[in-house]
Amino acid sequence: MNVSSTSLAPGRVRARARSGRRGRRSAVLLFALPALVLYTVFTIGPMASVFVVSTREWTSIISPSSFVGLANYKRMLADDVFWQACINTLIQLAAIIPVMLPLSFMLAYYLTRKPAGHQVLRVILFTPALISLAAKSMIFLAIFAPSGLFNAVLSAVGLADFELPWLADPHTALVTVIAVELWGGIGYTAVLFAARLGSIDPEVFEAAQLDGAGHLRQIWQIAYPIARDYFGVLTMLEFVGVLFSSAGTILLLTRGGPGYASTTLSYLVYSKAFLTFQIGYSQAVGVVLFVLGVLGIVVIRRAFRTES
Amino acid sequence: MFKTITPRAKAVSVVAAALAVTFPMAACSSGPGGPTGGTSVGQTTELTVLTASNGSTTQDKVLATWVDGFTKKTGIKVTVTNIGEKLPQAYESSLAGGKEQDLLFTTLNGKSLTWLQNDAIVPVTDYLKEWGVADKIKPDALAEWTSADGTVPGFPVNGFFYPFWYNTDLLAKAGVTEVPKTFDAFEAMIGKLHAAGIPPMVAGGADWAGEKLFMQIIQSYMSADETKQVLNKGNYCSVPNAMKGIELFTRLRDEDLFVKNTAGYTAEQMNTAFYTGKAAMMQAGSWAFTDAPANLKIQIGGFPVPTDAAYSKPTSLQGYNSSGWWISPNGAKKLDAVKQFIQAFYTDESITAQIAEAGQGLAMQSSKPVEVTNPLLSFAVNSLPAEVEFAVYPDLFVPGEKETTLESALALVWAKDMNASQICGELEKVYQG
Repeated sequence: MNVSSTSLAPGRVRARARSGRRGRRSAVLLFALPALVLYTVFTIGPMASVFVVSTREWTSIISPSSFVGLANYKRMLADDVFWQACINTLIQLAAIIPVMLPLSFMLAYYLTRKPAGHQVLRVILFTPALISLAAKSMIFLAIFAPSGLFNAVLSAVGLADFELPWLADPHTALVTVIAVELWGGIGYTAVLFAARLGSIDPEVFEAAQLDGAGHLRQIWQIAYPIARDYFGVLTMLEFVGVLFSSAGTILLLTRGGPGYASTTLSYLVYSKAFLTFQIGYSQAVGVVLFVLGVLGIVVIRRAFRTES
Repeated sequence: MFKTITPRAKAVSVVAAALAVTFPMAACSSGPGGPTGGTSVGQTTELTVLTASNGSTTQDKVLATWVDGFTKKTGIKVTVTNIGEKLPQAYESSLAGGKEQDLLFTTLNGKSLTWLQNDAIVPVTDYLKEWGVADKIKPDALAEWTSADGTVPGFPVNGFFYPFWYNTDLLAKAGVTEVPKTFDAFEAMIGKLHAAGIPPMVAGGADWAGEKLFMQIIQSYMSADETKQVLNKGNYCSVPNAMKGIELFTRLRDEDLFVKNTAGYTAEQMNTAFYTGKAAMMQAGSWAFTDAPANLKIQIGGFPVPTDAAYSKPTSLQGYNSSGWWISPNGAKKLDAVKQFIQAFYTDESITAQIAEAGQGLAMQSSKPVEVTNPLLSFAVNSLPAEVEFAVYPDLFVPGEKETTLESALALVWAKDMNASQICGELEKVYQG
């Protein structure tokens, strides 16, 4: 006698459906388990340890540590260097984000118009992303050295009085680091934007052009609203990159100096941990950085949220 | 619509999951530097070495040649890793994982000053005499490496002189016929060089080179004990002789002793500027003697101090806290091979190679005379000590955790808008941080 599900009692049908769903959930969990384990161990674990270590007095990873509660936070809040690093970080964000993102977007628009040689231009723009941090720093150390290319150009055009030790002058060190970061990021971000803008139907721009819209209007009143969500994602990524990853550039170019003139929060984490043997304090700064990062991401996501 | 997962598929998934976790773990468990050596009973066949060099110096090449010879003679394979200035961090990370190299070749300053108390290295106090190398090390060098309780953390190898280098061709162009021996002659020389359009002195204001020069000048009025106390405690503003020394520095700075934008020069850029004739003077270590261009006429000397200074002769710096051999806990497990390595390194033949060929190894002493062919090194060894008084070399007295921040703070002192009070304030801030 054939029994099909349609001939089963309703209770048995529901039980079989529940069993099927449980089986599918088990399968999903089974396949996701390795990734979850790796993520927990290598991402969540270290993140949690930042909070734990920030409550300890610890000079190096090979020496014992002791619990000190919030002492590192109190010391941090009373430390002029921390506040200087906060100001430098805000300057860095305020200088890079509003300059890099719009410039990159406009450059991307230009690329999508497919001017002559646009394919070569894409490669040239992307090249800085292919240069390692160490190589990039060596290049700019030479360019901004007292007898380097930049000062040589200034001298050649009769501006020798403006020659400075760009990386060692407290008034120019941070600005120079920012300039290097902009150099490295604008082209790369433009290529990323171009990938998104390339998917917009060209007829949209043609129609706008027929209606008399110039390029600037096409960029900001046509392309931007369409790609707003993507713009927000790249803004968020750039924010996170500047906030957390600028320490490498600073380490290789200025080491946070002269004095603390180019010390940012991310560099301060490195400096306190590895140069002044204060790992607990450095993680307290790390917690602040984490909180700033989360707040920044939330604000940016809200600002660029579009109604679907 | 969905099939339930079959037992066979489940089994495959479990195996795949296990492999996905196992492979990364296996990668983590292997790596360089761990206990290796294919040991047979009591016999180590491999040693690993970590150096703080970048692999391209003359001493690196001399060491590489020596290591080849050592391996051929003893059958002990030696793997040398040149990691540069990141050695302390790299070593501590590998030590935390039990994978550290057996031997280190690095300096006695900064982080390494904390290794004894953290059991990061094995002291060599007993091995000096047991292995017969004590008399191959200069007493002054051994004294510098011996801590207050008599413990010696490593075997000293490199000593150095740190004189002023004078380009006598450029001095002659400015009408300066001899290297100045008095402060008045030094100041007169600055004026003559400017008149001839020759920048007097280049300093590595952006890094440690500037720190050494600054520290040498400011201790002109302090006794050695006073200097050590100030370097250790950081009370620059409250010690009158320290302030006098800082004022001496600002006086020379404001007389344009230093080239334009000297704050931006690294040590390498300083060397290059001097070698290419862009300045008449620099202060650099004897490790650079072998790199100096052969066609450059250089005379080394001291910094002539004012007549009311604490020193009666021009001052210079020397030290023995440059690189030495340190034994790691892993290295202590291979003491048979380490002993052979150290004993072989401290033979007369090896010491001669280090001094004569590499221009290094000045903490070591050979039982036979060593012919030094490099003229600058020969002068430094044979004549300089009689012409100068050696001031306090800062590295052993500045607390290790302050060193890098101090260098960074000292990048500010080259600007003419920083007066002595502001400078001492910046220095004291470093010690409070």
